[in-house]
Amino acid sequence: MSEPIVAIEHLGKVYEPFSRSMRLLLRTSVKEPVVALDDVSLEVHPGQTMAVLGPNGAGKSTLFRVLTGLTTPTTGHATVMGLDATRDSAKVRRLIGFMPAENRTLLLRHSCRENLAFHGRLQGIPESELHDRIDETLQAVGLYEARDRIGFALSSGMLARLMLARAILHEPTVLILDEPTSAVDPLGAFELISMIQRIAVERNLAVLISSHRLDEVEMLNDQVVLLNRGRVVFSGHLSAMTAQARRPRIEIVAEDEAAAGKLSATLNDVAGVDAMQLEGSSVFVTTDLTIDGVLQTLNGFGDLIVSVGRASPRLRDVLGEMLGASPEET
Amino acid sequence: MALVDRSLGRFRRIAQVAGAFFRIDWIDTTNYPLALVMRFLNAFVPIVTYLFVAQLVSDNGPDVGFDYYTFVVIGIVTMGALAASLNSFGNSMLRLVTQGQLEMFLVEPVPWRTLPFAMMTMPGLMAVVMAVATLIASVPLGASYRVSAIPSAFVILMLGLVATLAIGIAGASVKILSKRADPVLALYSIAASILSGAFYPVELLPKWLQTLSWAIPHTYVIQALRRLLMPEGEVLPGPDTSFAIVALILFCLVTYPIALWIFGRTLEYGRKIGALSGY
Repeated sequence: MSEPIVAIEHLGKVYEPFSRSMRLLLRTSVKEPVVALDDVSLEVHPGQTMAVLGPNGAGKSTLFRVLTGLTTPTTGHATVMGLDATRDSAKVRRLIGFMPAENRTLLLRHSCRENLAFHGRLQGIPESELHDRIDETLQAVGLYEARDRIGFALSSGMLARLMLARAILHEPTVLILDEPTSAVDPLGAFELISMIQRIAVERNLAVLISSHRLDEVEMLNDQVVLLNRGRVVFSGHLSAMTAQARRPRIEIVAEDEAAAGKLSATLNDVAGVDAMQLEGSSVFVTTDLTIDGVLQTLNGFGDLIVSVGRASPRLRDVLGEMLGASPEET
Repeated sequence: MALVDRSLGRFRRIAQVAGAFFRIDWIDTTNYPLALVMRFLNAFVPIVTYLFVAQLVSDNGPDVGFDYYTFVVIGIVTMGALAASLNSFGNSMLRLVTQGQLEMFLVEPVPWRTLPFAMMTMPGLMAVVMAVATLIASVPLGASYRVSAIPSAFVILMLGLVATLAIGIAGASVKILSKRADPVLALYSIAASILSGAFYPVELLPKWLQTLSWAIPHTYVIQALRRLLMPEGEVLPGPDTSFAIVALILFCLVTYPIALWIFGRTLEYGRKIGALSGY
């Protein structure tokens, strides 16, 4: 295995309440110390994409803020290509391409090219290379035709692509994407994730991406770290995460949709069936019952059933199970 | 040799960052021409107002260089230019905070010490252009200046802009954390309005306030510009131009390390408590 590009060891961050003197200047709702990160360790290798998952307040953004030098850890440390994210912050920031969640971080009264030129100069790209690199990057994200349009004239999807262009313009080694598709419609989100995947492969980037859209995480199908209240609940490949599902999901294929409706109505009243989902002529059941147990409850409907088998668990259910349990239990 | 190369490299980097901010501000300014025109018109309002106020001032003695109108126009123009230097950085930082852009700037590998200077290039240029335009506009209204003194006046004005930027950096530091309250700049602006002698000779102030007035750079800049630009400027009381230059340089030498230290500490503290993005 290659050396990790991003290595985080026992990282902790506690936000302390402001002092009385600070409260004269600044409004705060923090009355007690808030543990944002607690003993977080992970590694990201070149070419790997790590999806950082967790509910709001899990510590995803704080993790990214530590890596980008926007906040300092209370304990532990984070390194990028062997450089300490706090001590060597300026060098680390050259290696990182950061895409924040909000598109108002762009200069919305300026064109795509002007936005990238400004960023490129701050990144120290020589003037002789800058304009060619801007054109290449705009082509890579499909914004070349819109290169002279100002930010306010772009759709949310185009703004997201412009933020991606800004993140990759200086040819970073690590991409940090904080909810990149949060403002984008599902189709645009799919295109953006495909684009990110393609660019990451072409440039052999290490990618850290946070998202609340689980279909995107399934689409990425790579490393996953699940955070809850600042602690790592799971870290590993997505397939290993779904394999941890404790309650099986059973798929019952019915003759037709009407038959599936009858079966689901019957199962609805059965104890031990937690969740049910109708998809065409299939009924998906999340339950503690075995396949035999399910079939017994459907005794008398045998002629409506085509097949019964185990289905892969839904990521949402797996996350629900993992987040429902305390970190010590998982 | 290596040291020269490193210094040259650092200078190039600062120039590149300053150029980046200048270009973006230039586009912002020139794409909204009406706003620019209104800014200039606003700057001309006080010189018209004081044309009539000057008619009420009967004592055109040596305290005002025998010409109250020219005396007060130089005071107003200088106050306007120095206000740009004093407030621009703080306002720019506050705008970045409220627009959610500050963190994005801090993610860029830009040395934070260069930010105040880089972000001041366009406002600084605008301050000088507006000062020159206002002085020119006041000529047909009756003000008179010594044209030969313009190069020296330019040096004094630049020194004044640099000196007041140091106070602006300290004020901006508080603004980054507080988002609203701005005690440093608010108190300094009040002090400058009263003590700098923009509208009246400093000698009219009580003795103890006169002492305080020579502790702020505004007073030196205004006095030096009047002595240089007014046809009868030599008769004005107060220190001569070379003394003002030395005082402003000393002021910069003392205040810059302090202001930049405060700014650096503020950013560090803001990072630690996570207060750089809230607004």
